[in-house]
Amino acid sequence: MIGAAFFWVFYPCIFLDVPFTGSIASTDTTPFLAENGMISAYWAISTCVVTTLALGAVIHGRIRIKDLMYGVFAGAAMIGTSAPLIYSPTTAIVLGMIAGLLQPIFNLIEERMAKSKAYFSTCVPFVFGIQGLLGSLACGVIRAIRDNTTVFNYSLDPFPFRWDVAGEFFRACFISFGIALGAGAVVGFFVWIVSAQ
Amino acid sequence: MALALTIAFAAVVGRAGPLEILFFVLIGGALYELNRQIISTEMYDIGGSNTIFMFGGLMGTVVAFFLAFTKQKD
Repeated sequence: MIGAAFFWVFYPCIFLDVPFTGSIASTDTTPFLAENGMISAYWAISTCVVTTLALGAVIHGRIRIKDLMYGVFAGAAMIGTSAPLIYSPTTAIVLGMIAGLLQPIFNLIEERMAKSKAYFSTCVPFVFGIQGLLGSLACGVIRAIRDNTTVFNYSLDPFPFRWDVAGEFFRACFISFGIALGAGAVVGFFVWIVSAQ
Repeated sequence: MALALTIAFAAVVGRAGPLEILFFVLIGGALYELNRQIISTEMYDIGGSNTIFMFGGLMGTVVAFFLAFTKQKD
């Protein structure tokens, strides 16, 4: 719980690493701002904690410390990639609310799975794996909506969505998913060799 | 890298010994950097939702399953 509080306070400082000059990718012409990412991260984490506590209280009838702990990490994993791209608090609030609505359901699944011996109950695959994947997919969606290198004809298409940009991002996300699983297999193989001695 | 390996360590804590944790951190750090270099050519991931959280969580989960199946022989 102390770790979650420290994470809440100090995680948005990771966005101070954003370079101020130049565009990051070819699809972005708007400047990245470090304060933008920090404020978006605070909005999303706060919203995710409140939503997780509320939904957990509705499900279980009481406020649990598990929801309070994992809500922080879920909000951070959901907002991580797309925080410097978000220019209004509403988008950050919606993203944090999606993570907060999913997290009590993941806690229920995790409590079911914790009865088996092969699973250690720290909720790592749900709160970091699945929420991180959803966060990086959300970044693809936001970039496809906010792409302003193309001039759209809004009378024909009132809600422009760049499917090619989103497709590149989704492909990158699933490549990273496969690399993570393969890295887990490699590290697990070496750890198995060490532990077999 | 520290945050990713901390997340991955949270999945194997209490189950792995010190020597296993040493190899876990060394090889896991190298593979984290490989993943980050590959992903940084395709997307700009400053908050680390992809390179830190997802990599750490999935790698720790797979290693935890490996350890669970090897420790059942004892």
